[in-house]
Amino acid sequence: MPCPRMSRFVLAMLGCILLAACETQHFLADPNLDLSRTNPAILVFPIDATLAELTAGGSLEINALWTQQAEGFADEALRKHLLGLGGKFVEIKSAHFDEASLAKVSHLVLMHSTVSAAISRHKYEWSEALPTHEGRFDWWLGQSGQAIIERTGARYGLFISVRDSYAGPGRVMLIVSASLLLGVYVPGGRQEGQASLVDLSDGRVVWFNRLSREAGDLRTSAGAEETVKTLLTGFPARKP
Amino acid sequence: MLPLSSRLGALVIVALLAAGCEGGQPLYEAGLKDEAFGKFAGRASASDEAARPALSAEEVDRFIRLENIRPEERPPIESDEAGVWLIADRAEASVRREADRIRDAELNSYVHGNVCKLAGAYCSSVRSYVVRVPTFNASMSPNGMMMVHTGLLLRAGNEAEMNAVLGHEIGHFLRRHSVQRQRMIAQTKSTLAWLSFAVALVGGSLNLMDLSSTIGIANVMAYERDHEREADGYGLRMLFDQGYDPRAASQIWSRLIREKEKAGEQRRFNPMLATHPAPQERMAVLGEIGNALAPRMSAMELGRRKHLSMILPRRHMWIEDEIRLNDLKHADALLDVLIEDGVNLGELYYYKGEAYRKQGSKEKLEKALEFYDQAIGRNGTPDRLHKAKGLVLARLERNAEAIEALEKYLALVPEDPDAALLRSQIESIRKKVGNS
Repeated sequence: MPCPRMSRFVLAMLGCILLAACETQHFLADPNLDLSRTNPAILVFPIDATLAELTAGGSLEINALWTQQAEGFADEALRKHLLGLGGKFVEIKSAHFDEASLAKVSHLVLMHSTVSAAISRHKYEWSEALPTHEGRFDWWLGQSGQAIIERTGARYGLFISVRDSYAGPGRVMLIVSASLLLGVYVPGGRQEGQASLVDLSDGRVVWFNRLSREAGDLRTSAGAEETVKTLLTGFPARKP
Repeated sequence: MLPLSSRLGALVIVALLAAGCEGGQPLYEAGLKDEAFGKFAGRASASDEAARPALSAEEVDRFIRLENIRPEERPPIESDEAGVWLIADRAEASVRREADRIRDAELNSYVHGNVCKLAGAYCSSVRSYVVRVPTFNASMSPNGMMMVHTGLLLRAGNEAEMNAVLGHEIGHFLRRHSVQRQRMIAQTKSTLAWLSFAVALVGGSLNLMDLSSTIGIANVMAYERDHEREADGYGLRMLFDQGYDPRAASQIWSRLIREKEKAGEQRRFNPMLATHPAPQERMAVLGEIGNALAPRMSAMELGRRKHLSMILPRRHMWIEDEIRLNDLKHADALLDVLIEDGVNLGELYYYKGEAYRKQGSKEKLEKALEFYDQAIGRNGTPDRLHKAKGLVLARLERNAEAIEALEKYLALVPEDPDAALLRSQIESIRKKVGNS
């Protein structure tokens, strides 16, 4: 074995500390992008949130009530934050769309979920880095955004998704018992978030940020505000 | 090597976990005895001497006990079940946009009409979607979304066989198997987590944990197989209630087994990993119960004519999907089983030819020709057989016959978009023959 158990453990701990220090890291397709100069309209897609309880054994049980409330809190927090930035924001309303253009919206949303998963994997996991993408940030969703520009007049689309989990009573008991009696660390809930800004005219992901931490709470409106603010760190729009 | 005390401990755990082993045959009958589901129980089980004693709730749900979901019930939003539904609702939203979803209104209403008939009071709770997937399957989501694969419609010989599977899926829904499964898995994992904590506390070996988590997984699988048995029983129950031949449930399994045998796809049943009981078991048990039920029915139907009127005009697309999987044994076996069923043999032999033509070798091309010739003169032979035959003959350099077949095709289908290409091919074959 190239690396004995103890030193691997130390490495893992170091990794954790480093990760915790910089819990978000964002990417810009074009380092000079600054929307505050042109102030284009940005279409805000509904926040995709899923909240779950972590059971003692590590199962995630989706909580529909928390999820429903979190969507409300996060939408509200996002609206506030974006207003603070002073940009032009358009909310997506199905009234803008007929059946055919709605299909384009669905297509874009699906494509985005696949591409953002790929970005998250290949730009953030060092072991999964793609040699062809080294030092570059170029990801595309295709042309389906055109129909949205025609309907809404927005030039950019903002997508936000958050997967949030919280240790349930059983998990908390296990965490406490393991740390007190065995001195062993058992992980609790996590927050994994992604935010991306997409140029609807050509489908390019122009800005992307990821959040991955053992903190954050979408179950309260203050928590949602903190999460949204952290997730939008480095957002290339007008500063307040 | 584990120390003796650990091995003893392992044995105790094995014994404890294996106590939850499978329910077996009686579970198939749970649906037949379920008074909550409707009229059946009063009609049959009370007067039936042969009926086994009804199962108690403890026997049916050894781990998680749940009442049937009620028609049009939605779980309260604060429940874990609502979480299971939330994910299913999201999945359904994307299924609605799915490119593979079949939007043929007539076919969907045929399938949904049957779902409604079987589901009775649950009709409005179950939404069926036909999806273009070449596998023998259907699936049920906890929120009432049912997906029916075209591979199932293709293989079911009649309405009763199709309904045995649709009824099985409805059984999963009304018995709330998804949430039962989630709870079972969470409980198993939590037990294992605490067990590993306890083992670590007394300084025990981690090998012990590997063993018990393996048993834990096997136990979850056994639990899932029990759900399949229970759902099979509900399928049978719905056939009986709606006046379908209850032996059809066994028959569709027998078709599938024949197909797998012919394709050489029979895998050994693995009790650690199998999510479903072996098809042989399902065929045998459903056959036995179906045979016992049939004499109690004054009239029963298979619904073959209606089924064929829906399936035959469409199945060419689904057969092509199966051939596109590019597994000759698979296509060959499927077509052989359909040929045994004996409808529109011309179409089926044509597709056998197509499956062989796709392989491209001289030997396979010659075999393809044999099938084309078997197809000619039988019911359902498509005109494009002559095009395929001509192209195969040209590949085999049987030039005169190739020209004859292609010309015959062009006479039958002059408007084929490839007509000009085919004419130029005929010309080049003629030239080649003239030059030699």
